[in-house]
Amino acid sequence: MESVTAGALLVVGVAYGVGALNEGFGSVHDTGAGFFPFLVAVILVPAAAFVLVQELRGTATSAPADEDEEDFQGEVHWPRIGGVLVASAVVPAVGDDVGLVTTLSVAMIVIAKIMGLKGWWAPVALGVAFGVATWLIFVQWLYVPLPAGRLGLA
Amino acid sequence: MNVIPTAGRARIALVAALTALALLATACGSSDSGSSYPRRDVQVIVPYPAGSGIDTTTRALVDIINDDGDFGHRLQVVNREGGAGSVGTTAILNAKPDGYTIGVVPDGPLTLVPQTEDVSYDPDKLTVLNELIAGPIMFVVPGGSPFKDLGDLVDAAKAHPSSITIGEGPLNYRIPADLLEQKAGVKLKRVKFDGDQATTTALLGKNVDVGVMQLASALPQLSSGKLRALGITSADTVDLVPDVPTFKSQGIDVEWLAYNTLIAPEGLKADVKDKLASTFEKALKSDAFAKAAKKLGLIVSAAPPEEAAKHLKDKAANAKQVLGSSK
Amino acid sequence: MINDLAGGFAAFADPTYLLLALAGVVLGTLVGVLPGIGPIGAMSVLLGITTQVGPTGSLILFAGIYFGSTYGGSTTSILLNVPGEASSVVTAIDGNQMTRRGRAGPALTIAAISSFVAGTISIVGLMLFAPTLSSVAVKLGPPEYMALCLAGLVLLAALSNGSAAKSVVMICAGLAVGTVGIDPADGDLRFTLGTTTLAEGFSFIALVMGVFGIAEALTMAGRRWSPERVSAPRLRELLPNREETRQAAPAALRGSLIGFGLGLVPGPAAVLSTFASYVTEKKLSRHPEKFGRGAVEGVAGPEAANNAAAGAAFIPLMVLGIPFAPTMALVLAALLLNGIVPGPTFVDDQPEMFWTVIAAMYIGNLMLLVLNLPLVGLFTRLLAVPPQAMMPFIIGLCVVGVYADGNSMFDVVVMLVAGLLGFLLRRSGFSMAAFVLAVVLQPTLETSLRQTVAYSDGNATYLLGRPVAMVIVAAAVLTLVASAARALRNRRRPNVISADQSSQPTSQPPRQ
Repeated sequence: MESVTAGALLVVGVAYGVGALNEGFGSVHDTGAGFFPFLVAVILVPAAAFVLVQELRGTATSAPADEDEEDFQGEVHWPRIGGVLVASAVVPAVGDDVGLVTTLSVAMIVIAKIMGLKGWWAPVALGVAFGVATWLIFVQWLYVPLPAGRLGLA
Repeated sequence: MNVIPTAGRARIALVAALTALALLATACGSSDSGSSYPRRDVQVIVPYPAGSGIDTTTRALVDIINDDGDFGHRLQVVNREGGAGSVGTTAILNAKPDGYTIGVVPDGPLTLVPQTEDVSYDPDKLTVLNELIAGPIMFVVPGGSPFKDLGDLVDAAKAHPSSITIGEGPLNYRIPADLLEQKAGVKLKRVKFDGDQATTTALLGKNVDVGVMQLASALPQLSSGKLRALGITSADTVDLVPDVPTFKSQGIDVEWLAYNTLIAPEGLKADVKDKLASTFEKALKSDAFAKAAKKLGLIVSAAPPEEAAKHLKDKAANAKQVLGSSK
Repeated sequence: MINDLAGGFAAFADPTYLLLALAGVVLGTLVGVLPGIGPIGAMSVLLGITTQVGPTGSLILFAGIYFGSTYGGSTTSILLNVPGEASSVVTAIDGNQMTRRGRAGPALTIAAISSFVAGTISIVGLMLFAPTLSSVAVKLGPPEYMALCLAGLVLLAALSNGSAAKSVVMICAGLAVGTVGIDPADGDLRFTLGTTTLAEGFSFIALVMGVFGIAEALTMAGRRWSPERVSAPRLRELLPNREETRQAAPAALRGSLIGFGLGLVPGPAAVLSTFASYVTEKKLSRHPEKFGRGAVEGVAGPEAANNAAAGAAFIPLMVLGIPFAPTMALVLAALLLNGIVPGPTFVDDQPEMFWTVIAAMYIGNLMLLVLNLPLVGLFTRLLAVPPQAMMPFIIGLCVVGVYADGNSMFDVVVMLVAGLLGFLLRRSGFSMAAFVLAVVLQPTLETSLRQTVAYSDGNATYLLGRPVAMVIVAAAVLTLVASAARALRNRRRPNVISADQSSQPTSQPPRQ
């Protein structure tokens, strides 16, 4: 898992470096758009390679980064994660047509069910309350034009 | 202290403020004014962030139109920044030509950027409405600079090639600097800054010898004496800064104006175009805008659509000679 | 000066100003608490009414929004590990750890009080030293900005608990992501794959909400067993205990100074100052291993820093007429629309406006403290919500916040993708704080680096003529060497470390 991540970063880093040179490195007098990205790639590629080697040899530190702690370790319920992501992705997919608030409320009800919130009353109340609050705060008070969709439901 | 009059005005305003805070949307609900354009609010896209120079100009103008109320519906300023103006310009030009999406753009994305970059709009397929502002570029130095005029700058640059630093920015600033180098046969050390505010800071801190910037940005600093202008790229001296000589009067044949222009997608209906053009022309020629422009350091153009379109065409053609084959 | 200030306060005999200040701080707190939409959004909306409110009123209203949002920004960081603003990313690190250890109340209280202390210090600084400070600030040029950015990134990589190599990878990734879109120096478009969507670049807010908010939600979704419910805290648990207060006070003071100093630098000063304060506190602490596990100083310092930076940001605007931050550009616009053009002579030309605004800042700060402390109890009650309901709520907040920030569905997609990638990367021990700081600093770093290269003509000796830049670099290098030396010492005596950390949930191997 870790070595796949490191490997992917390495590949992306190399591609980025090549892309940077295509954008134009320029000269010292007139640096091009690719100047800075290329420098970044020059550091990124060896660093990613170093991490990859560490992972492959099994010498990498497994300590989580500062902000993460134990949360991001251990077993994961992948189907639930997939379900949550798919439900969320519905919002950008149809939000413009159906209306952002409506779509989001429905998505939240689905996510709450995926998460195992019991019954139907609580998830529906959550979704609807959130939708109403969002509409009041963003559309009414902050005057943010959320897409209303074809039905004009916001 | 003039707190009393301000406060009086503020109290009236507070009602407006709080109403606006709570129910800003009510304006949208006002009744339909017949069957003709406009039937709803019009979005005015500005391809730069809220608070930028062009945004402030646009808002000042839009406020006048909205306060006047003759247009029938409100104009709303929408900021679509990014991509050196190309994001917002794309949003305007690729919108439906129904008159509900228009925009105020600097000329760069129409005249200059397409010559050096691949853009996702066709800079020739548009409806040009009014020209709002035609602003010259100035070369500015710190108050204590040894340069008194462009001649001093040219002499110094000849004596020490590539060592006088000049702070420039986007193409609208780069080209006048290029032109100066060409016409005077000198080489300067070019440092790119991302906007007039960064250039002003560098000038005040003497981190750059000369700065290229717009009149509007430099004005408050000029009047305080912290900065001084060597020359201005207009054809004649400008009333706002009567003692700044033109480039031409100093023997350097550079004339350069940066425009802010109201545009719409190609294929705008004639009656819609006329309505928008006349509404904006009235606002541009109003006393209120003249007063605001004077404070902001803007030179109001108010050129009608045909003339505005010609300015853009000519500028693109001129720039071609300088930019050459840099794409 | 006392008379001037008294005159400023006297203007508040008019209740309009008081109401505007109140409206500003309430609205600011609201947009600060809501992730995504921030002070910039709120101010852009209100630009439309500035001419009716008048210049002084606008300044009071906008200052209230700005201060309010910096106060409110830490709330979701601490409670949900979802930073609402870039400047509260750091607060999330230890603030949320405090919440997990049942100290949410104290964390929020400390954040509010630190903010108040810092706000007050920065207003006093603004009042007393504004002209001097701004003339010093403009002397800093591209080489110094570059040095500051580099120092910030290097120290972050060196001082994080995890692998330094992984931090470097994440910093580079952040810098790389930041370069998509427009080139800040030339205006060239790059890495856009020919699309306009990418020409806008990746929305910074979308990235932050993704790698923190969505990734956090996915973690909750991924747990095989639902964690136990957190019960609502009792009142006694809302206030910091003596030990926590003793640790927080000096951190808040140091954070205020760091924030005030860095707030005078153009660009992402507020964000940089929070990281700088965090690194400083960790460096000075006798128990650096507590950082990342709920260190009180890690909340007090950065929260103070971003509020002090907020106050300091007004200095270049008021004294020079130059906005150093996007929020200040909006304040400037509000003044311009009212026909006031602030320049170097602003304070002399408009003394009563200047002093009224200073008074408004004092009053606003006090209002915020009074407003925020009671909210602590209310907010901590949110923690009693079970994760099955909290998780959809977090996703909803993130989606709406990100959409509202940029009016773009693409941003929502970016957030979801960043969330998934962030989740996977965090599982592999990559630091997202490093990534976020890198994205924030990228435009300033790139511009200043390229300007410095242009100044120097490729001749490195140019930097020797910039003593301030050299000092910044030297300080960073020294810290780096010192921590490397300590890491080496620790490696020779690994048993000390493991003994030290046996009580911690995960063991922490020596730094690479």
